[in-house]
Amino acid sequence: MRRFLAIGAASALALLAGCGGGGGSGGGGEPPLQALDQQSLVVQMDQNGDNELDLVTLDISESPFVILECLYGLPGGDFDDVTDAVKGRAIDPAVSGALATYVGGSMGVADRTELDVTNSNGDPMRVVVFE
Amino acid sequence: MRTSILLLSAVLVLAAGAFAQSIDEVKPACAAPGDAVLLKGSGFGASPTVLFGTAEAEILRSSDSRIICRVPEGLAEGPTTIGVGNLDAGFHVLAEGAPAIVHVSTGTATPGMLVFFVGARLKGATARFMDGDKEVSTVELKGGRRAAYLKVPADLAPGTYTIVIANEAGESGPCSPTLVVVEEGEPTLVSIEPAQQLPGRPVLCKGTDLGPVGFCFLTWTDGEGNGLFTYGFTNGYDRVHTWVPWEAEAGATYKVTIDFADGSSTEGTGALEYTVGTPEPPEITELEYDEGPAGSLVTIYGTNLVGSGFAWPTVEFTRGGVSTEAVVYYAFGSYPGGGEGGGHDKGVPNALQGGFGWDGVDQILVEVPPDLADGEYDVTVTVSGQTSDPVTFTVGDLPLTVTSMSPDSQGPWGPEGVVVIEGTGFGVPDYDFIISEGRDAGLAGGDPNGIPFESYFKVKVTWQGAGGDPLEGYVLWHHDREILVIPPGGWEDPLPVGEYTVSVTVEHDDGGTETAGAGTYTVNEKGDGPGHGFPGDPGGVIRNE
Repeated sequence: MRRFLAIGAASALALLAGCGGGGGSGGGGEPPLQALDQQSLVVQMDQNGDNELDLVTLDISESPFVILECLYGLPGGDFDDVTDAVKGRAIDPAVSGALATYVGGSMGVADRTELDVTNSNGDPMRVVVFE
Repeated sequence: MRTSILLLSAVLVLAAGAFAQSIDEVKPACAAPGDAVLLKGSGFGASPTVLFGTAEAEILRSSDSRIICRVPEGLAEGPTTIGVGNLDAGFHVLAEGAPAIVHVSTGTATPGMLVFFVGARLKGATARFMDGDKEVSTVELKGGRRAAYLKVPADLAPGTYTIVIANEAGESGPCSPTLVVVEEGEPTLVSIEPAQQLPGRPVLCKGTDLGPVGFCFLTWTDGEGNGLFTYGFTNGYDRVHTWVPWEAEAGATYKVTIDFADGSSTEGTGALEYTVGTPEPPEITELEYDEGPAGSLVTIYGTNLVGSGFAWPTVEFTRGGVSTEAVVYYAFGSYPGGGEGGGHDKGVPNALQGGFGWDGVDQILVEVPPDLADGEYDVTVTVSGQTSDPVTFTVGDLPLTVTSMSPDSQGPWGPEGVVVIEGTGFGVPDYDFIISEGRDAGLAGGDPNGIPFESYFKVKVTWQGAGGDPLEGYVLWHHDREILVIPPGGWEDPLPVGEYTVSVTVEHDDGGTETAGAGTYTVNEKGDGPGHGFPGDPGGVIRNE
């Protein structure tokens, strides 16, 4: 009789693909190498899981990062400003940890950088960071 | 005295970055006092000094090629220079509180299209569409302080406009973005860059009328009509960031079409052909072991064993033309970092380099397929359509041997930690790992209220003292070459002081058993030295008092 212990494929894939997923550490350490505002970061990702791209401004002095401003993407190319409803909410800690790792080590190479991350559910997602 | 002054001057100049070789970019080139500005260049030195005009800036972080500094407070609005050592670059000081821009989603748009901005102090600002000095249209920015958007006025005539972002404090100045407004047309895919990108790697699709801002979906159709899919990020007009499907076959040509959220598609203007690059083939340099029973674990070492993106290697054991796929427990490694092609910037993440011990050699841990008959097999790794040369693994039971037991002693208050016994022939437990999907993963077998896996183990480890019956340790885990066991009694009822003979007994599939000695295990008197206390108490002194 064989028994089965399952492991999450996505968790393993996180190791494989060099995803930033995982740890939930904050943005401590060196300040990010980005322009204008050292305390916040603008990213584009599907924050609410509706398969639309959202524009999210994060407070990176908190751990995990919390939402400062949020524009939910709408089908057809429009945004809905939901800042009042979601301000102060922490984002997925795994995504936050990945972003913190990236921001802490970034050298401001590109204006727009795509990161593969794995969220806490083990699902892969791609986040665009504007530096 | 003169020499001293000269030397002092030299030191000051060096500190100011006298060897700065270039300032390639200032981002943003317009910012207000207090904003952080990023300088890119070379030769900045270890401790650069940055001057805005004559005002020294606070350095937030720097390297030889990057400086992040703060625009000094009190600077007057207007043009100035940024100086690093002997080099200057132009800069424009915005009025305190005026909007600043670091990113615009597109440089070309159609009437009615959404354009978004990333910057600072954007909330409540207006966007003035300027045709030269003439203000053609004004719209309010929507959104927040750092990210905001507008819709290009529907009645705006085609042309080139400067968009001046303004609020009560001032305006975006000479850094105001330019927007080319064109008439709407059919979505057209013109190019995919770079050519021959590897599976899983980023590419940038260029064209026109590439859908509304947001996600879009790309179909990669091979010569036989089979489709692979990726999603992309479109800026709403001329750029879609995506990646080559990691399942794409190296060297194969695909027809690429893009479907957008508003129902439009590039299909109407024709698919674009794209030939996938060919990565270096995987190479197995070493197997952790080259023999062992079916169901045992073995680590494969080599190069190019993992693909980019979410490519998952396939490991096969082949004999007599019959291949059996092995379950991959984990795989990690790296592939060449990006940096071009869609602005991707990804290489070996710190987590892999540090936390998981990636040392330049890719690794895959697999289970030898449990149903294999004894014999020699060719082991191959396939990733992104490329297969490694085979290496030989011999499936078969190994003799029971014990090569080491560590630690081999404890204090009177319990073991220092788990005892690790290494050798061969310990057998394969009656459980297996399977890969499950995401959140559905979990323990698929076993009694959740019982001791995990106890009934699945094939070994027992006993401690035989001077008198009485042998006492059985608590096996936490084992495989064919390793046993993790806690000595009898653990910390609750530790073994009495004395010497013990440790034995490993393996139960074979036919019901028979075999026993091998693992050595002598000593339970020391109190005060016998370090390492004999509780876990986390390496001295063991306090509890031995």
